[in-house]
Amino acid sequence: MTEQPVDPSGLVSRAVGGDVDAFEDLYRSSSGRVFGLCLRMCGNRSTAEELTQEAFIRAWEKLPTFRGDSAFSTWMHRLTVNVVLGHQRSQGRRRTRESAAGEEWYGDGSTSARRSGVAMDLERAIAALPDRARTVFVLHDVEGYKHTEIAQVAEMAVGTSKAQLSRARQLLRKALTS
Amino acid sequence: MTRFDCKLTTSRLDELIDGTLEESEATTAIAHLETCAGCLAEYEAAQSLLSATRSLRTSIEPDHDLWPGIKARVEDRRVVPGDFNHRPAPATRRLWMAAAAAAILVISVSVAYMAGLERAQTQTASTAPVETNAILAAYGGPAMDLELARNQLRLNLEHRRDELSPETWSVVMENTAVIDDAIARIEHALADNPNDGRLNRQLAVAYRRQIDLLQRATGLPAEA
Repeated sequence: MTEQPVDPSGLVSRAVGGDVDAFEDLYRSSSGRVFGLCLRMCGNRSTAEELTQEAFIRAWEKLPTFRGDSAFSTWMHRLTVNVVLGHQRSQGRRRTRESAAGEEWYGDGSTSARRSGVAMDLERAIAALPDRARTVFVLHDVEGYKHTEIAQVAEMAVGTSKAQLSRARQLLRKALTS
Repeated sequence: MTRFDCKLTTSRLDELIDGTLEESEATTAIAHLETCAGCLAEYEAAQSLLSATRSLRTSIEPDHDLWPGIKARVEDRRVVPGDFNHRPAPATRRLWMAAAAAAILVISVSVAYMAGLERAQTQTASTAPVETNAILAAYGGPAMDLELARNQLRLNLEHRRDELSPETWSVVMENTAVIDDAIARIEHALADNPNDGRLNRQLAVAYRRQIDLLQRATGLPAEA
């Protein structure tokens, strides 16, 4: 996982002490990574922005529990996954309003998100996956989680994780060849 | 190779791709791929997908800087004041339910009116003044700001989910969903006529109704 050159441990210490400027530096160093994760997991730019904000608010609140036994980016990544999964669980039936997500991946088209070719087709196809299949696919194939880790954070059986991954891959292959 | 071999190979394709298939099974599967064009095509497509996925960027920047909103919330976490430490009196809860229902009624009437008289120029009843307070004063501007305020309140309310009873939570979610639908319909109408002042006012009113509802819900005393 690549981060911009900041000194996470020093910044975290300052942020724990209430230094908002230090926390802003932490935000700047990891916001793209966090937003990218939120966007791919929820498939919707506006929701991803909300969740990104929420993840950093949570991080601010939980900074005193950061023990430094992993990189800040790793800690932030796990926290973000929990925020997104919590959001998905809480949304439940409301998710149908967001399920036409493929078109919303583009946002307003003013940023580098508007890319061409296979990558953009793949991004749209991922965004259009069913929630659970998308969650497992992103965590496993994009973020490199193992099925046992997905099972733990997403509160599902390992077998379910494998089945959802298989389903996601099949749907993506079909979407990309149709 | 038999049809059974094809089924076996495709069912284990993901494990083969991921390298988690046991060695003996992997050997069998690979041997099958060498003789079965259909399974080989599936395997190559799966490999291609995995390769494309691994080449995706992990960092994506949002369309605009999110830091100002985060900073505001970091510096003042208490967007909505409220005493969350005692159970509500039944009368209080009934009052809130009635208020929520009233908000829904106004929105419903507003949307029904708008749907029926979309091009009419007459004033609608839903432009009645709404309750103002600190957050509305802070976010009393364009719909984008109202949407931001609404979203912040939703997240705040989410934090308190465990403190509210399932019944209350259900009522809040159902009511916000109704207003969500109203907002969606107004925005749909606005897409055809973005400069329509009446529709823009309707949208602002809908957001404010929802903000009011969410604020009331967020301010409810703990029930759990």
